[in-house]
Amino acid sequence: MNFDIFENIGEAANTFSKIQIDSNELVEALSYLKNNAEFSLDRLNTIIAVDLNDKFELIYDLHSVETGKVARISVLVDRNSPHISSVVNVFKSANFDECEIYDMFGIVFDKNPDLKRLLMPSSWIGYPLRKDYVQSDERLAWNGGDND
Amino acid sequence: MTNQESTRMKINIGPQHPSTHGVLRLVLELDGEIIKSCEPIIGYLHRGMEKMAENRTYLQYLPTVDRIDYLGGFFNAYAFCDAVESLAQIEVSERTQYIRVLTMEMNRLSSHLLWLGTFMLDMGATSPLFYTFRDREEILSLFEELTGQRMMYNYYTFGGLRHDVTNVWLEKITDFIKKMPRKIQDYENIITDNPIFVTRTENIGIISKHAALQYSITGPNLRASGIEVDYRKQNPYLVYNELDFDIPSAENGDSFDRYTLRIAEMYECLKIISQCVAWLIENPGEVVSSVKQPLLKVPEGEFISNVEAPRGVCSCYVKSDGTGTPYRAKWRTGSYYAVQILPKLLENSFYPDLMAIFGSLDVILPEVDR
Repeated sequence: MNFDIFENIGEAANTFSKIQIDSNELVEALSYLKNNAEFSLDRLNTIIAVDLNDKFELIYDLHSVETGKVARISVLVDRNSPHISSVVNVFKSANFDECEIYDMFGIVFDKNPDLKRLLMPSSWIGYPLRKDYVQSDERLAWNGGDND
Repeated sequence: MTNQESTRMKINIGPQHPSTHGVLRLVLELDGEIIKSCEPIIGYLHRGMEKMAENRTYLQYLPTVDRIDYLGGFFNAYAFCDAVESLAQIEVSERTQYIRVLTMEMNRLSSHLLWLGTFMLDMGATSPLFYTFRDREEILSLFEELTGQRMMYNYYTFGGLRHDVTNVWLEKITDFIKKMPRKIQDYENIITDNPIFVTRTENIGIISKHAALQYSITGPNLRASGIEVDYRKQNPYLVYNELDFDIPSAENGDSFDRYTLRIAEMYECLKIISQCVAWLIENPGEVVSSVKQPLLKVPEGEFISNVEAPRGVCSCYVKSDGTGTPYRAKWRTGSYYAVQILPKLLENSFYPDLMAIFGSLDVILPEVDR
């Protein structure tokens, strides 16, 4: 991939901007930003998923321990086939984040060795943080359904 | 069944267990007394904090964020207020900022005191719990006098505070911080050189620098591993850059270092508090915001605020679509990642060390499950 877009990356933590990249280049881009001494964005603070109605957006919030600079990498995920490659090989902390996003949004992280529902019971129906999630679903426990 | 399998035992701890600080469930595989694997199972305290944000106005959501980390409510409230204030470009007066720092540092102190008591309790020492709760009670009484609540304060508003502090209250704080150093010294006298405590915590549960970064460990746990990162110094928010304080650090990253580091942080808290009190007595001013709280509409945009909370970096992401309700709110808390590193820390350690390791991480489960 073309790494020129990262030339001026890194800003103070109390500002917000993000760089959009293609979802195929995600793993390559994150390991570049992590291992390149110029940026040394060596801590993945968190992964944020947002439902944009027609697609999902994932924001990877990278922090540098040395300089305190931050960078936000944004990728878009197709709603009809929500698949994206996992980054657990780059940042181990991503495992819980990815499980939670799978749990809440139904986005599947390919090659994550342990993808499972993290906060909701494994028998839960639907993905709660999607905008089209129906809270009055009769199959849910509080509406008389029998899932545990 | 092979020989190896027959000697292994699966054991379930929790979700209701006196020393899991909430409802954490651990499934351990033991070989004799050695832990071979550990699987943390979380979600028992999940309250859907992020979904709740999408169904409430900003003001309706504000009181609920105190409950994310019930031992550090001010930090969560500040993270959310900061995100909203940055999005809506609301100015915050200097006096408000000083009072926010003052209350947050008091909160950090009470949180560390509770941690100290329960950590000792986990390891079988019952007395420290009563001492630390006695001191924590004084802080909670001061908070109750100020906000009307002991733990769920709902004191910050967008752009300001509910009401100002009085000089009488500030004098009570001064009295309190005068006697605190001696009490912390007392704890150190009881604990730091106690041979039982030292043998149980030294070289136990070591987090290397590399592992700490890989697992996104933050806060005191990261600093105990020898990485001096504190967002109050590195990315100063509020008025922290005008205050004089140090960032304690340790190097080994074991349970004992995490203990000494939090003790050192308590002294730094006192330093910050006394500076804030001195400033506030000198500089009266306005703290109640003119923003019409219930009608607040936040312009379109997104923001992440980062706060150095007692248990690590607390980040709050808010995305607004221009209406009076958050489009999306996301919380990142320190304990979440401290739970994730548990399997790695516990592997091949002794079962009796479980609580000496887990207790030292200062995990609190409502913050993990949100």
